[in-house]
Amino acid sequence: MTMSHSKIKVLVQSNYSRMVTGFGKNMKNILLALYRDPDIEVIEAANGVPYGRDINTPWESYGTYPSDPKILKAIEEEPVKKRAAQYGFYTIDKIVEKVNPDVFLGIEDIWAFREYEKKPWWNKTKKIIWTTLDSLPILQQAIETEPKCDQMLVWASFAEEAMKELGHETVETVHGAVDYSHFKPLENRDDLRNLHSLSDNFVIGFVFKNQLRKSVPNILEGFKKFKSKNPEVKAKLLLHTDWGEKQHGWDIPRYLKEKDLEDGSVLSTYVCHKCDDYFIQPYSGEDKNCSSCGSEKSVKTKNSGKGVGEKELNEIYNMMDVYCHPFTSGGQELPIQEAKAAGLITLVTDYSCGTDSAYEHQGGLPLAWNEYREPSTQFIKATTCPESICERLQQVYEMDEESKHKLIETGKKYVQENFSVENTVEKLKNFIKSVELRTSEEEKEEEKSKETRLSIQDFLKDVPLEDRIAVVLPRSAGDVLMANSLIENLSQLYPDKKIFFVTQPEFYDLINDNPFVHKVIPYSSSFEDLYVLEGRGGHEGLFDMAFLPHCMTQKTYSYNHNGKDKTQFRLK
Amino acid sequence: MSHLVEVYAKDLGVKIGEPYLKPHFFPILYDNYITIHNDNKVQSKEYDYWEEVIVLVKKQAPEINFIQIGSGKEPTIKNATKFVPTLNIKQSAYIIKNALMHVGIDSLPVHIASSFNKPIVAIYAHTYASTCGPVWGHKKNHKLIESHRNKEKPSYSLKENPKKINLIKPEEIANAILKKLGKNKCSHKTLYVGDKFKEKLIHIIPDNKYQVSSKNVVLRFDLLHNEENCIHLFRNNNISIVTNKPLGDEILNQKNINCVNYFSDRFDEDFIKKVKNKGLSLRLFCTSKENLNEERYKFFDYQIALIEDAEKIELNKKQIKLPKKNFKIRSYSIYMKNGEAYHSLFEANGKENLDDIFIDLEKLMVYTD
Repeated sequence: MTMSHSKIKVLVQSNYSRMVTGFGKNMKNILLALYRDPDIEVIEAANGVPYGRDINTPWESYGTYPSDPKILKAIEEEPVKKRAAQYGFYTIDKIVEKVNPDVFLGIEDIWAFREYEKKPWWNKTKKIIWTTLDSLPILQQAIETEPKCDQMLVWASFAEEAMKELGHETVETVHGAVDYSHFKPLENRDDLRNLHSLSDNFVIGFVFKNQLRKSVPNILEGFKKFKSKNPEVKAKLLLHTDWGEKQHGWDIPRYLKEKDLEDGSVLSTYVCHKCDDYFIQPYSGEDKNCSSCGSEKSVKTKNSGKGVGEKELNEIYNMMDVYCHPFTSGGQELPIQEAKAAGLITLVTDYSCGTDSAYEHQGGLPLAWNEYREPSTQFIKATTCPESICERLQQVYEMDEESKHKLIETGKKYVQENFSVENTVEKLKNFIKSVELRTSEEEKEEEKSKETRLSIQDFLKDVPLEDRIAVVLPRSAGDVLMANSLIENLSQLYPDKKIFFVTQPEFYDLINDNPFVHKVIPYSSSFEDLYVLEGRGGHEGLFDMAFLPHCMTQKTYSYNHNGKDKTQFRLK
Repeated sequence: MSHLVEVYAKDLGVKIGEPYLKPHFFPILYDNYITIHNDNKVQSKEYDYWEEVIVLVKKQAPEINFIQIGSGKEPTIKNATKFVPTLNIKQSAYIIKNALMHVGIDSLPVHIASSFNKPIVAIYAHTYASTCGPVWGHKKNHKLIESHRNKEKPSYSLKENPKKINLIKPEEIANAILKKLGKNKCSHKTLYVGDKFKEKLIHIIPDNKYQVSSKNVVLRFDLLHNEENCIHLFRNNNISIVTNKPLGDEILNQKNINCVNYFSDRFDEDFIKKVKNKGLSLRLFCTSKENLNEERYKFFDYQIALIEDAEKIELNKKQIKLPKKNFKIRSYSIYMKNGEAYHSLFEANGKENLDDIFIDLEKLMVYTD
C-alpha cells in the first residue's frame, strides 16, 4: 500500500460514530473534523454496525460486524469469537482490501486489536493504535503491540508515563476529542436552582453510567460523613445515573437504606422519554407518569438508550456547587471535563486517567485512595477514601469566593487547552502525517486450545467401551429424522454393538422411538473431537467407533456439488 | 446427486431405511383437511404469500380446510381454517398422518408426511430441493417447487434480502395443490409482487376529515399539505407523517406521533430542531443527489437517505412490463382520497398516470385474472 493519492487515505476503526459511548462520541468528533481537512480522506470502519448496512455518513463507511450467517452462527456459540467480531476482527481484512488505506487508525481498548499483527495487511500499511489503558500494571498486550505499530497513542498521560517507564519511549498522550461547546456556566443558574427547589442547598453532583467501577458506596459514605459533620448545611447529593440498572451496576436504593440516607438528601434525575423534559427529585422507582406532557409511564432515570440532551446536561451541571467523581479506574471519564467546562470545581480520584484532572493546576482537588487488586485481572484498582471525599467537600464548602473563582477558571482553561476537539484533531493530524513504516516483528505462537473434558460416563457405564458406537448429529429436526431411518441398518451391520445417538435434547422426540438406539445422549461441543471420542495414544477414548455425519453438512458444506454428483451404488 | 440422507448413509456405511416415529393422538374436528406449515425461524425459508395460495385454492375447492401446524411460535396464516399448535412433534405427526395432503416450506413436517406416504407440495429456494426434499414415500406423491432465484444458485443463507422463496408465484403452488385434489387450475396470473406487498398501512391524503381507527396511519402531507383536516386523527391513532415542508406547531404538539419522515433537497434547520425538542422520532430523506453529502454533514446525527422519484420510477420500470389493459392491482395498504378508499396511489389518482404504479411498486401485487 503506497501513498498514491494526493490526499492521505485514513481508515479509522472505532465505535460507530453515532454510538453514544466515549469512543463513539470521539469518533464522531474526529471524523467530522478530518472530513473537512483538505489533506486527508477519511473512511469509517464502524464497530457495532453489520457489514453491508448503509449508515449514510458524509464519508465512505463500512460496518465491521459480520453479516455472513455462517460466521454469525459460528460466533454465537463462542463468546471469545463473538467479542472479536464486535471489534471487527472478521471483516476488517475485507474493508482494508477494498479501501487500500495509507494509514490505519484504530481507536479502541487494546484487546480489540488482538492478533491484528497477523493480518495480511498489517505489515503493508502504516498504522496508529490509539487506545485506553486504565490500570497498572500495563496490560501485556499493549506492551507487545506497541513495537508492532507505527505509533501508539494513549488517552491518559498516566498510561504514557507507565509505558515510557517500560522503555516504550514513543508512546504519546492524545486525549479523546470531546465537544465541550455545550458546557459552560449559565447566567440563569440561580433561576434553574429555584425551579428545581435547590436554591438554599449545597449540591454535590456525580454524573456517571451505573457501573461497578464507579465508587457509589464510597461517595455515599463520604457524603454521609459530610452531612453529620455539617448538620446545619442543607447538603444534597445528585446522582445523575441509571438508577434502574441493578444487574451490572450498583443497587443504589439498597445502599441508601443501608447507609440510612433515605431522608431525601440523595437526588436523581428523571427524564421523560416522550417530551424530553427532566426533573430532579429523590428516587421513587422507574416508569413514572410525566407531569409535563401527561404521558403515562414515560419517565425514567437516564439509561444508555436515553438520557437528557447536552443542553439539559449543562443545566444539571450548573445546578451543582461541586462535582465529585470517585472511581476505581477509567479511560477518560468525560463528565469530569464537562463539569470543569460548566464551571465546577472537580474532586477526582487521582489514579488512572484521574491524574489528568485531579490537581489544582487542572482545576481540581485530588481524592485519596487505597490500592486493591481486581480479583479476575489482578490489576491495581483504587478505592476512594470516604474521609477524603468528606474533607474535600468541606474544603470547597468553606472556600472563599476568590479561591473558588481562581480554581474554576483554571479548570475551564485547562479543558479548553487540553481536551478540545481542535486540540486533539490537530495532534492526531500531525501523527497521521508523520507515521513511519516499521518492519514487522515475528509472529506470536497461537494459543493452544484447552482440551475440554467430557462428563458422559454416566450414560456409557452399562456398555463396555469396545461395544459402543456413537452417532453424533447435533441439530436440525429433519436431519435427525433422516438419521433415524439409518439406525436399524447400522445395528444390523454391527449386531454386537450398542448405538448411542448424540443430539440436542429438543430433538429427542425424533429419535427416541427407534428401538435400535441404545441411549440418546445430550450433545455438547466435546463431541466434535474424534480423538476424544475414539481415542489416540494413551487415551483409550469413549467409543469403539464414532460417526460424525454432520461434519459434511453442518460444519462445512461439502456435499452439494451443485446437485450434480452421482453414486455408482444404490443407497435405498 | 447427494441428498442429505444419502450423505449420512454413506458416512455410516448403510442403506436408507424407514424412520421410527410414533404419532401421539391429537383431536382434530375437521375432515377434508390439508396441513400447511410455514416458519420464520429460518428467514430465507419463510414464504409470505400463503394467504394468496389459500384464496386461490378455495375458489376452486371451497370444501377444503387448511390446518396450520407448528409449535405456536410461527406467524399465523390468517385465512387458514385453524392454527393447531401442538406440544410436541409427535402430535403434529398425528395431524399430518390424517390429512389429505401436506403443503409447506422445507422443514420437518415435509419429512414426516413423506414417512406416511402423504401427497406433498413443498417449496424450496435457499437450497436445492434435490438435496433436502422428502425422503420416503412414492415420488409421484411429491410436488417440489423450486424458486427460479432469478437464475442464481442457492444462497444457503439463513437470511436473504429479498427472499428468493417469494419468487414462487402463489398460483404455482395453488395449481399444484388443485392438481393433487383433482380440481381445475386457477386462472390467476401474477405479474409482480413487491417486497412490501404485505405492509398494512392506511395512507391519508388529507383532502377530507377522514374517520379512521388504526395503529398504522400515514399522513401524506407530501401529497397534500392540509393540517386542519388531520388534527382529529391524532386522538385515536398512532400516526406516521410524511412531509416535504415544515409542520405547524398544532400538529407537532399532538400526541401519538410515531415518526416524522421529512423529504427535502435542503432541510429546514429550525424545523428539525423543533421536532427534536418535542422528542419526536425524525427521519430525513434528501431528494437531491447533489446536496446529499452537505446535508449529511450538516445534520450528522441523522441517517439521511437519498430518495429521487425519477430515478425510482426508471428503476421500477425495469422490474415489470405492464400489459396495456386488463391488469389488476392488489395491496394490503389503503389510500384515502376523495372520500374513498383505494388500494394504490395509482387508483387514488384516477388511474391517470402509470408512474404512480412505479412509485408505489414495492407495495403492490400486479396480476391478471
